Amino acid sequence: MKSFYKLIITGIFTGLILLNLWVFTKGMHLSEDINKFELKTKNLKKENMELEANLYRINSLKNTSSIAANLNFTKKAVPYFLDNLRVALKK
Amino acid sequence: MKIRLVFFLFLSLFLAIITKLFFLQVVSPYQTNKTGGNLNKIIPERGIVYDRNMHPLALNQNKYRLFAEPKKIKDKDLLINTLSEISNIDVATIEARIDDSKDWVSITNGLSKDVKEQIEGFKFKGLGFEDEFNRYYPEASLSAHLLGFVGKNKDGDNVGYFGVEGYYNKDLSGLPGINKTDKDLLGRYIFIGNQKKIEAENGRNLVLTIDKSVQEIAKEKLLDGLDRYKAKDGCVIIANPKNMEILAMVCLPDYDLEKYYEFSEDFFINNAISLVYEPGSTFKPLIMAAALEEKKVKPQDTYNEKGSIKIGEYTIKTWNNKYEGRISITRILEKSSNTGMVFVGEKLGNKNLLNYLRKYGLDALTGIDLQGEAKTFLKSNNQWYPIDYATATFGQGIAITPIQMITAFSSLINGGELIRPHVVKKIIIDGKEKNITKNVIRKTISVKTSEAIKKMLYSTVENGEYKWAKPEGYKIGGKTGTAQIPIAGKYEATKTIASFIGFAPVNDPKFIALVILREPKTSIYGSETAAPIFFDIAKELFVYYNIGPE
Repeated sequence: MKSFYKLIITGIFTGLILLNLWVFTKGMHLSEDINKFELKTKNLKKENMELEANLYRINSLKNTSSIAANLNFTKKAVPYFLDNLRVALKK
Repeated sequence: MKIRLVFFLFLSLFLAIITKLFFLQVVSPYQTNKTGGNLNKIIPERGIVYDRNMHPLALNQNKYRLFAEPKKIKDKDLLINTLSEISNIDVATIEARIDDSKDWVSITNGLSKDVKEQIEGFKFKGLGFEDEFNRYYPEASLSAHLLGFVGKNKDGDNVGYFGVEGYYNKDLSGLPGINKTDKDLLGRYIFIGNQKKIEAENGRNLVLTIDKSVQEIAKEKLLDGLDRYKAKDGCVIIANPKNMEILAMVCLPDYDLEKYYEFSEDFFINNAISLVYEPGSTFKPLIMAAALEEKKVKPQDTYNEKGSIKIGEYTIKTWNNKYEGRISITRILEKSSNTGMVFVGEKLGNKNLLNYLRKYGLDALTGIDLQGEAKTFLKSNNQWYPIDYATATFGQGIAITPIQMITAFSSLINGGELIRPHVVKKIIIDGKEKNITKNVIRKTISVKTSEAIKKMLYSTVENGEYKWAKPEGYKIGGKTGTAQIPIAGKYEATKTIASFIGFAPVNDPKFIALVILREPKTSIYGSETAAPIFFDIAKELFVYYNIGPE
């Protein structure tokens, strides 16, 4: 009878040790996953920021004027206003 | 014997644990902090600054700080030479920064991704990178003075200085978060330990009243004007007179926002709000409007311009020392007659004159939402002498800032409302927009007087002493100003501040613009320097705002 209890207690302890090991290993994997996703999010944010800056750089007046100068589009258009229009004007 | 053995075994194990704890907590706490029980500050992202059409003027960019752990470096000379070549930093500077006695040193910051990847390619031991946010300006220095810059305080934290960055620093910088986690030696989370994370609150985004296209026009024309008239410096302010939203504010010379540390502090001063100057003749309409409002003069009244006027030991002359005899009150503005304005000032009365100077807000800050506005003072009533009253009528002997000038002048043409000028239109807080609306400080003149002074200012542009290349068919009102600069208690005849303040269209003003040039060399007069710049800007604005000729 005594050896039976001993066997049960040993079994429970062994089970608990194995469970502990399983939880520990699972926890390690989980923390590795979190690290991986955190790094991924961080890199995506960085990439997003770089793309955003690049987009606005390309879209800027500064960039447009430098491209225009390179292509020799430097002459400014002067508006032409029509005098004495031969159409009915709502007065 | 067996019990003693177990006891000593436990005792030695406990001693080993105590020794290790002593080592971790006392001897080498740096290592402990680095791996376990971390309390990290989460840096918030600084808010983005947009123009009124949601084009960003300042945003964040990811950059890198290069650091070294000198004790781990193997071939120091090779590393220094390579870094110098890639990052364009002197060999001597890098050498001085890599201090062998230290565990960790910062070599440089603000490195781009390309440079970082180049350095990483060499696989040097003892080198590493840290992420950092830097400000990026897609339009470069287009709005340098207006935006201000982000520098570091003594604790190494980012702080906005000058302009919008300085004034709205608290809104833009946000609140840092905290990340308290227990990690193992490899930096992985330990789930049975402490886990606490308070997310950072990112900075608020600002939408300015500035229109970057108008800003570009103003800067281009001012730059051209400074070159043409050989002026020392200059400013242009363009605003909507109905709500005092600033559409453009440019002062030159300016500076490179991303390399602000390469410029002296003088470059950071925004003269549009910090220059205290004598406005000269651009001030005359303010006094004329006050006299009209008080019904002391009418536009059709006449004044006999006989010659110079003596006040005590001082003689007041017209700018060209020519006198036309009997002229109308409107003609006083047209020909910018100093003696005529002394007459108007006498009609208005000294007490009224001082009251109106205060009504126009010339004894207080305008309250514009930019860091660095200069405060001006009006002398107390008992410090005013007869000559002071006389010269104040034509804008000499009184000092104001350009932003005060345009704010007061706007009240003349918007129906008499003195409105607080502002550069921020909206603050975006967590996606919700908080609008900043028109803030009327007080009424200065009536709508009737406003209409009368607008007509007089239109007539001033049409019949003034100087004929400008005005855009044809448009009704433009305005006034020139040429103020001598006081140097050591005397006015220097050859050194002036030339200015022009104008608005259009006269019947329903869409914009008001003030152009100021300091010490132009080709001509000392505002009519020959600042005014042409104004008309160049007006021509472009008519096209931009699609305003047709009347």
